[in-house]
Amino acid sequence: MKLGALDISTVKLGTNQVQAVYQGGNLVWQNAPVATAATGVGQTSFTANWNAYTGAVVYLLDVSVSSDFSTFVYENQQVNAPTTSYVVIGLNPNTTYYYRVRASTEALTDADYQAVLDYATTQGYTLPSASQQLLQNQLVVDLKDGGIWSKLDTFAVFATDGDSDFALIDWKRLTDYTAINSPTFTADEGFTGNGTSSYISTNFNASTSGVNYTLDDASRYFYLRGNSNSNTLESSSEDATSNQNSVQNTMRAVSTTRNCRINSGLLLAVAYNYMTTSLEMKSLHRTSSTDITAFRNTDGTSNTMTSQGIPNANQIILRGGVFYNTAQVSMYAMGASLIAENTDFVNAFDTYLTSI
Amino acid sequence: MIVLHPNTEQYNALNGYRYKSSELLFVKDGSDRWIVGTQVLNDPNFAEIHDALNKLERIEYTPFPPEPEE
Repeated sequence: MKLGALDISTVKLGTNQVQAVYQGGNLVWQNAPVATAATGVGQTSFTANWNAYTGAVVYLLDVSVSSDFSTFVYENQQVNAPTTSYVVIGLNPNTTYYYRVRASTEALTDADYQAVLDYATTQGYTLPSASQQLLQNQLVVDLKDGGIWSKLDTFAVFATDGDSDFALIDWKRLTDYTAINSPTFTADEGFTGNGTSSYISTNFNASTSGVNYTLDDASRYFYLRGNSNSNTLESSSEDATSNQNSVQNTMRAVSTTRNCRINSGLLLAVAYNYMTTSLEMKSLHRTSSTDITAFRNTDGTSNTMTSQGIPNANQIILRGGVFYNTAQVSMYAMGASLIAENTDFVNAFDTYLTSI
Repeated sequence: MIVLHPNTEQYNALNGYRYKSSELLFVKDGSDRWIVGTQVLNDPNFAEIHDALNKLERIEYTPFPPEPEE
C-alpha cells in the first residue's frame, strides 16, 4: 500500500465561515493530495474537498475535532478516485472540525481480505473498525509476501474489534468456527475458556478437508494470550476415552509435557519445556514421516515422532476430551509445514497484535 | 464453581440450539451430569433462549481427576 501525504483543512460549522489552513511545511510525506477549503457548510455537515493526486486509486479521509487527530469522527473513510470530495454528516454545530486526506496508488484491500469482509457483511456480522480493517488487510498482505497464506487451510483471527461472530470467521475457507457454550470474547484479545464446558470448534477436519495439511507435511498454530491451566489447549478429540494413545493432534499447556502430537499416537520422545509461557505463538510442524519441530515464537526444537494418520475429526480449541482449558487464544491456523516461513508468520501476527 | 444443569425436558429443548456462530451443547461433569457454564447467560447470540437458560438448576460443578501428564 502506498499512501501519499496529507494536508489539513479546518471547518467551523454553524457559522458559514470556513478556514482552510495549508500546513505543507509540516508534511512528512511528499506529493500529497492537498485538502482544500470545505464547501456546503451547514449546521451538521460539510463537504470536504481536496486536489486530485496523480495515480491515486483511493483516498482516505480523516475528520477530527482535534488538530492532532488524536481522536476521530471519521477515520480512513475511503473515497474512490477520481472523486475528490466527500460529504461529512452527523456533526455538531458550532464545533471546529479538521480534516485531512491521504492518497493510495494501490487498491487498499487485498482481494482475499475483501472476501472476508464481504462474507461478514452477508452474514450480518459487525465489521472491525476502519483502522483495524487496514491492519487486518496488511496482515493478509504480509502472510502472502511471506509465502504463508497459500500454505494455510484454515486461519482465524480472534483478536479483533469486530463482534464475536466476525472473530470466528475462517479467513481461508470463508465459513465459521463455532463458539460452543460461550467462551468469553474480549475485543482485541480473543476467546477465553471457562474450564468446564466452553470451547471452539474449527469445523475443520484435516482428514477430509485438508489440502495443504497432509500426513507428513503439516502445521498447527495457536496464539496463547494467557491464563492457561494445565489441560489440553487444542485437540482433535471431543471423546473422553480417546484423548490418549490414539492418533491425535494435541497441544498441552504444562511445562514438562510430551503430549504434543501431530498426526501421531505416539508421544514425543523428549519432554518440552514448551507450553507455559503466554503471549506467545506456539506451533507444531511435521516435515516428514519422522521429523517434527515445536516452536515457541521463533525458538524451534526438533525431534522425532512417527506419523500414523490424520485424525478424522474436527480440530477443537480449548478442549481435549473431558478437559477444558481456561486459556485465552488470539489466533488459530492449520496448514502445511511452515518451518522456513515461521519467523515471518510470527512477526506478521505480532505486528498486527501490537498495532491494534 | 456454579454451573447450569438441565432436567430431561430442558435438555431436549435447549441442546443443540444455534444462532450465528454460537451453539449450546451440554457436556458432562465429573459426576456424569449434563452441565453448561454460566457464561451462556451473557452470550448475546443466546438472547432468544436466555429466559429458558436462566431457569436451569444451578449446581456445584464436579471436576474430573486431573488430566494425566504424559
